[in-house]
Amino acid sequence: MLAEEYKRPEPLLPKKNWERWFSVTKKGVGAWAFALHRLTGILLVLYLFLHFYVLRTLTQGAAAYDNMVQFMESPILILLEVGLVAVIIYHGLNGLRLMLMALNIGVRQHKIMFWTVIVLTVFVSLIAAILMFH
Amino acid sequence: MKITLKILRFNPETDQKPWWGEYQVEMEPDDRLLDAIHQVKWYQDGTLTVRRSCAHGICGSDAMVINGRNGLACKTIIKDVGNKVTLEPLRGFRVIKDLVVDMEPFMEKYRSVMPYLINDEDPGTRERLQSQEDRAIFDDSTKCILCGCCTASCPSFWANPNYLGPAALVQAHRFIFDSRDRATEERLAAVGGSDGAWRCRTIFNCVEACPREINITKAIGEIKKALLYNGG
Repeated sequence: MLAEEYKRPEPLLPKKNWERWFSVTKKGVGAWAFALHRLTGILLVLYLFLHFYVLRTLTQGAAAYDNMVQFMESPILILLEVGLVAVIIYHGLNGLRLMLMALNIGVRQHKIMFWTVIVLTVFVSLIAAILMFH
Repeated sequence: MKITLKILRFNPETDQKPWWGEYQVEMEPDDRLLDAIHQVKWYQDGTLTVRRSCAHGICGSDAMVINGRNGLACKTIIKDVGNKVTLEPLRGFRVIKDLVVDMEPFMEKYRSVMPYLINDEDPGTRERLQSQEDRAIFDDSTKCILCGCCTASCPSFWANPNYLGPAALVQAHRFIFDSRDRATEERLAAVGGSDGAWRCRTIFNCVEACPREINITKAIGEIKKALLYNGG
């Protein structure tokens, strides 16, 4: 054993906990996929509460709900909704990719699968944007 | 070519916190990074501490973070890393001095997966024979040199130091899928716990880091599959 009288420092790590999860410098496709997956997951949990908050207007009668729907039709909110579609599609498709890999299917093809997820996410979000803005 | 080495130094006897040392060395493009570190240690600053043994990529003792990526200094060619090189000790392990980290927790996990052949059957007067096909199943994981590049690059390990880590799982894979071994059950129990294979989140940092180019995530995936089919 090494001389114990030396005061050893803590293990060298990115200082903050979130940096350990999201630091993606010089890392591969898998690290990006993981960081994005966690980020979209957190966003979806936050969105869930926002969603409940919006649905709350249903309990306040038809006028309050119509008011809310009108508010939701502003371009900024539609843009945010397109973002929501992108987040959902990415999280869902990458979730499938992760499930396949947990079952040891296509582990060697993980990079192709990640880029497929990205292409599909962009594609579906574009279609959603076109439909929503018309 | 003139290259600049920026090395994260730390001496627990004198330093309060790590500091960056900068050294200029004249190297050939085909030299290895370890040669540059030797230049610094032998001719500029003898207090620089680095661990290496064979210097040919087999002993696995000079793993470090090279320009933000884990690798072996002895297998890294100068022209591949450019003329400004940043060196840090492996992340997630305690620093003993400069680039040397305490690998003991890593080795403890290695031992916990029983990395040796367990077979009480009497082989008679011959070796235990194995077909080429059976040998090929675990061929990839026999390449591991226990340098620690994979485990030190794994965010799951950073977040939970109790996680066995990619290296120990590769070693477990090497024996779980060996047709001559008889301790599959015990070994699957060792890697099936809450700090075992299921902590792998398939981030693939280990595969990027491995200097032996082992497809570690694939090996862990095979362990997960074996755990599923064995009721782990």
